[in-house]
Amino acid sequence: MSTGLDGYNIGYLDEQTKRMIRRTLLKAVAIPGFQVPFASREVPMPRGWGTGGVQVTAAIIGPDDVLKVIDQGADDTANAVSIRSFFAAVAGVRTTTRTDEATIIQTRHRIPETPLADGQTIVYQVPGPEPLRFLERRETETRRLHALADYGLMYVKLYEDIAKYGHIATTYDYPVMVNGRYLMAPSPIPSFDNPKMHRSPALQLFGAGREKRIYAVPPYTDVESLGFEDHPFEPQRFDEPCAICGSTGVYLDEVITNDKGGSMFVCSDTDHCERAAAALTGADPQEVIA
Amino acid sequence: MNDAQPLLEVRGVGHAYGDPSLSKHWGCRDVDLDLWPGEVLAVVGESGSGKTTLLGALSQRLSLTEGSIRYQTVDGKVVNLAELSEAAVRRLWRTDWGFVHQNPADGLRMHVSAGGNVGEPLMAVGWRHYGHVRAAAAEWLERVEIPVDRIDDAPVTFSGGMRQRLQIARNLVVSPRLVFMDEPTSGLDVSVQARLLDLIRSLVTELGLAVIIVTHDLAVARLISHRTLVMKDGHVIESGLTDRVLDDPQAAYTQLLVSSILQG
Amino acid sequence: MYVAVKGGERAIANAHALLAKEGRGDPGLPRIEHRAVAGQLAVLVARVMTEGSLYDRELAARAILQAQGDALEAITLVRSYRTTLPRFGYTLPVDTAALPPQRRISATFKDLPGGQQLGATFDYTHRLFTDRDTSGPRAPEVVSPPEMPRVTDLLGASALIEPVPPAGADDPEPGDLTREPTIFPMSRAERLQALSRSDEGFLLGLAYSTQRGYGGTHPFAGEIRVGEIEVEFEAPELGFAVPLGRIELTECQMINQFRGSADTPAQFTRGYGLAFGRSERKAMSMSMVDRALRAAEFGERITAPAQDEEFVISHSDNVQATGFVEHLKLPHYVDFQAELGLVRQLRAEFRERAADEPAAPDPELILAEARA
Repeated sequence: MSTGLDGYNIGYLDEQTKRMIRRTLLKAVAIPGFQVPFASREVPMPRGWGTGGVQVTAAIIGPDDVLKVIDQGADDTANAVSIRSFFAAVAGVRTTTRTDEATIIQTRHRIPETPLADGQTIVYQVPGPEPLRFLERRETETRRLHALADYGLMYVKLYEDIAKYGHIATTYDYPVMVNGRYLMAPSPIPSFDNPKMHRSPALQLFGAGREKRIYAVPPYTDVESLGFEDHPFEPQRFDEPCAICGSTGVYLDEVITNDKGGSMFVCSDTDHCERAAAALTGADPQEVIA
Repeated sequence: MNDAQPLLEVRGVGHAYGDPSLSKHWGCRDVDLDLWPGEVLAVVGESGSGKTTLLGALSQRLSLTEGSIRYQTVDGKVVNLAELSEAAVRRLWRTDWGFVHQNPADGLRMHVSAGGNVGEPLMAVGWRHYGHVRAAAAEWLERVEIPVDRIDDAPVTFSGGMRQRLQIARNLVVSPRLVFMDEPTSGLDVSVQARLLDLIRSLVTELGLAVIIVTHDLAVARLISHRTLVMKDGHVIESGLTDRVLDDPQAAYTQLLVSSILQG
Repeated sequence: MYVAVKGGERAIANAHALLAKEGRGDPGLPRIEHRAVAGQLAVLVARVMTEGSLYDRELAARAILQAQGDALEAITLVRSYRTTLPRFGYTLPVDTAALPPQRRISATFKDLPGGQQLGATFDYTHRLFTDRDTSGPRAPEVVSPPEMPRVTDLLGASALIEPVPPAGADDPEPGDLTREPTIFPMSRAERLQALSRSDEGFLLGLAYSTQRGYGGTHPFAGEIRVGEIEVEFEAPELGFAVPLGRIELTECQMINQFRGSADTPAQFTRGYGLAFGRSERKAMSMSMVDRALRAAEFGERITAPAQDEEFVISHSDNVQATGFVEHLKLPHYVDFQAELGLVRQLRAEFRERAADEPAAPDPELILAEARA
């Protein structure tokens, strides 16, 4: 097991920076859903590619942790591979593709299908932490709206959607109310995943590196997706099963199979799919990557 | 509701522009007035008279350099507005007060539908039923004589008069007790003005609104206000029942103002 | 049978290998030495140091080579490295008047104490491809350099230009954007820090816009200086300042239209730009944007993008900008799938509604019948 790159601290960030981020995390956990500004550091990947998630993970990861990294639900997409190997190199931790074996899961745009458990931490990569940003572009004003719990503007947007389309037209990064107080952007997870955040036993941390904000949802916190009484929030559904493992009630990726637009649907969560498929055939699921 | 207390009690109010430690330019000074529920008070004067500054100071858009404003809340308590937190003031704006801007674009979301504009104050105070919000918005559009089939159109497609009526609907949908109006009819055609004033007058009576309306047009004051304040150079130079002030002006300046309008 | 695509790790490894190979270019030619880059591409190195926010010519040169000439990639490399460096403290404010500059010009006076010194500049070259003699200027070096007081100090002596810091105000503590989270509104010191590491092209465009009517006051180039200055550090154990070495800086002071009021007499106002190395375009653009962002201080109407602090500062950091723009290359298919689902649903509902309504007459059909 490597003990880190030469010349770099364990976990890449220096200890002062880790402390600063942990203090920010504590504040975030104490005020669920509130965006805490922090002095985001540069890390060796570009802004927009997960630097917030990386800083949060770097601040909390320790030698006994087991890390899973996914992007679009898959362990094998290029950016997930890149981040996982980064932490393997700088923090010397065990990594895994199995959701149930990870202590920390860093994710871009999905929550795993396997329900999370007490003691697990999920770190979300967030591009835009401000749920009101496209309705009110000034930071000075959105700060006020949060302070005064003045969220009428968000409901206007939902109203307009229903008036125009008959539905709320937001399908990902669907705004939620946390602990009945703060409006929060859950990151661009599909609305399908929103219900998983509600009263999750896991600690949910959100890092926005470029926008320099951290926020959190402590375990067993209420997370409610916005809606109207007569147009309640409805997560998107897939009626088909996965073409590989047969699972239903999971998020599916559409894969184009020929140039006439033919397609098939397969699990977005590769870990779930592999294990479900293995269970069907009786084969061994993939070993933990050391 | 305490009948012995006015809705708004204004004493010695003044607002100065510029650095207070250096020479000040007083926009308005030494203004006293009482406003009672259901009363319409017109503040008239030429440009530079201080009437807009006074409105700004009363509606908390401008800070008070001098004086005090006390407001009686719906549960009968009297509060000094200067002592309220920003959150409390914002709450008052959502439930108790309205502000109709001279330019309707300043008081509307120009690219949000009419229904959305009128529905927003309801949603801001917790309405969570789309159908009810839409129905309430439609009812108000009817009341301000906007065709209900325009409910999904944005005010950017409306005429000036229609925008102004929409702004009024947006302000009144939460049944406020006090509405500030800043020259709501100037910039509109004369016939449109007349219709709008009629509408304001009937709504005010129907809802028992208290209104402070700033205008340079004495005819507007005559048409809808109970009492009138005349301002010049930042000071109130005459006040009283509208009919009395306009028919029997005491101050020389008021006499000048009144005589200079053509009797129509 | 469809098998899920695997091999992301191998793909990345191969991509890195191909990148390195491309970066080597023709293996028959010698590798470029990073010292050659530092020496012969000094202006590019200056940019990478300035926007990378780290003064180290060799490091910047290495970054440029590793980035295969991509300036923003190089800047990103330098920034990432900077993060890991230990922080000892702050230097004393540098005195740009203290050492004789290599270049010093002023557009505001024909002549001034110390004279106009052109230094090494592209300004009057003819932009033709040419091979120049590199042995140096013919005029002998000046033995004792003349006194060159700053133009803004000359004007300031008779209070013709606003004093900085403003009269009666304390010299503010520097903010540090890399240590404290950015919150708007910012102090001028924080803004200047942000501007000094901002993208040169972005500031250039904004500065240009102020000259064409998008906000802006007519600026005069009060003084542009390029030269080396001494950096001094006050070590707490010693109690006095210790010189650490010299760095090359470009400084621009723009003099902008005067302001006055009933209470204060008319004075010129300032815009300030500072950058590492020979970075004149950056320093000039920065000083113009600095002045534009001070509009509120002078009670000027804010009408243009260059005057909008939140807009300018939020979008001026090219490391952030390129990161976010280029992140669009990352897979987004999960969210795209969600959008696809909604669009399909809305289209289905639209068709259902159309099926319920009586069919509108088909213009094609009517035409066909008419012709028949």
